[in-house]
Amino acid sequence: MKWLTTNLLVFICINVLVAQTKEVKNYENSMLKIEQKIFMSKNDTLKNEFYLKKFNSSLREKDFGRSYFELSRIRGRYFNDSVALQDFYWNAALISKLVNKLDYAETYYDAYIDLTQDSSINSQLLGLLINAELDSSSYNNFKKNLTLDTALNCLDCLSLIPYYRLKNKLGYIWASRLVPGLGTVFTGDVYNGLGSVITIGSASYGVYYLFLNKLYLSTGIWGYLFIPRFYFGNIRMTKYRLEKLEEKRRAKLAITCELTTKKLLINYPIDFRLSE
Amino acid sequence: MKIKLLMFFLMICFSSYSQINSSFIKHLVLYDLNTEHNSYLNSFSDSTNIDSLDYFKLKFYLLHNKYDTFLDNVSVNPDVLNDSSLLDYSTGHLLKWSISKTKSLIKIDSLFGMNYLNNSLIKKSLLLVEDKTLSADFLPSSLRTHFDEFEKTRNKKAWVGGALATLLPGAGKLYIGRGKSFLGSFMVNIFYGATAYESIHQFGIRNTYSILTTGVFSAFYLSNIYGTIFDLKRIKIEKKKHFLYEVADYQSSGVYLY
Repeated sequence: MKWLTTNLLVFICINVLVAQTKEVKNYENSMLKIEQKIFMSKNDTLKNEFYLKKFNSSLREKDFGRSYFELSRIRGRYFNDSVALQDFYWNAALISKLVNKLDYAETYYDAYIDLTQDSSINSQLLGLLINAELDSSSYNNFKKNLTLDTALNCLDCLSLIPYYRLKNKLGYIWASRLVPGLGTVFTGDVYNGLGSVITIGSASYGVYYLFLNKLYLSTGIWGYLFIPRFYFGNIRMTKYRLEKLEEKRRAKLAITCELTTKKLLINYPIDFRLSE
Repeated sequence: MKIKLLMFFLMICFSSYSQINSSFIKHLVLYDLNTEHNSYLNSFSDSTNIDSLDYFKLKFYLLHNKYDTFLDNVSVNPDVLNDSSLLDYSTGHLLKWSISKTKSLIKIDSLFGMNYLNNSLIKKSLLLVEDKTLSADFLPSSLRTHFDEFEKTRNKKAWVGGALATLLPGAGKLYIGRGKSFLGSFMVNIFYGATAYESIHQFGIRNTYSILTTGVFSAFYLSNIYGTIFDLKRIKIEKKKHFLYEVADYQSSGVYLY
């Protein structure tokens, strides 16, 4: 009995693995077959139909990189069916947004709106998401319409991320100019800040000590070689740390915003339109 | 039942005689459809009786810079070794990647192929960079300039550079062709030498500060000599690689894989 159960389990596992491999293979084979049809067909409209078929297949398989590639081969002028064209523009706008090609996303979205005059929340939400990182005036127009639903107010963070700047940056730099290392400490990098204080302090004291011992040549040379390098290096480090801090805070903001957007998209899902 | 069996055998026969469509492959390459290209080649099983399958697979490896796989499979496929333009393309691209792998391909060609690469520009250039006695007359004028540059560096002696750096800090850099580094090396050594001289003059050699400044000066002085010798070695390798890269570029220009 035990022997039978073990064998049965092994058999199921192997079958699941084989089924998964076959699924991937089937998808690849179907893509290849469509490409062969594209190669054989002489008619542009027919070719366009096959391009669209490939595009939709890749969307179904969530192979978005490939979808974006196939998208570039499809031409709107060869469509005979207006519903298919609408769906194509919608999917094209969405996939371009997903792969972060916002200019293309905007072009396809505008083409979709021109064709459908769609004013549904889903459509406006897609427009808002595309324009959030692209065009602040269009974003504000979308927001005006969408504030009817207060749940959408949380999307304000989208427009804030690209423009986020750390406040009072010059203050950090001046702190480092007055007390070397202080600006770096303020950015949160305490060890490097203290390191700057100790390095510049001891180098200055050493040079002063040489002067006291009447080693004037050494005073000049060590002073010239070390102090300006350490001092200006410390300011440069403060600027570098400030940039890092700004990036870190922007990334944090982006994560929070992404979570908010995800929550919102659960309530107002934006899906691909695959009618076939 | 008999008809079904007949159909089955017919299908097997049909599939084993199916041929690779080279214009379809060209279409896949033109549109950069790498996944489809791979699927297409894999759609023919290895047991299928198609002579050109391995040939197209090798071309695929070359296209995707999988040179190791290409080299592993090239010796068993005489079709590739008979295709002179493919050999030109592969040696040109291999040389940009690895000198030793290019030599391996030349060896494979001499053992299993028609020894086409024996008189090739690449083989002659590889011999030329290793043997100073060989003449460079076979090189076209555009490659001659690069070779002259390499030869100028090749003839420089490490011990001359080291001796010059010992006599005058920075002079070694001037000799090896790093003129811009001369002033930096010279001034740094003068600065540290001056501090060492001043401290010894003031406190004597046994003073801690004197030992420190002399130590720093010695470290910079010796590293300048070592740096000159090390730099020359590096420049020689750099110039050799640059020359061979230019040869590879010359060889593969105008030669297309598909």
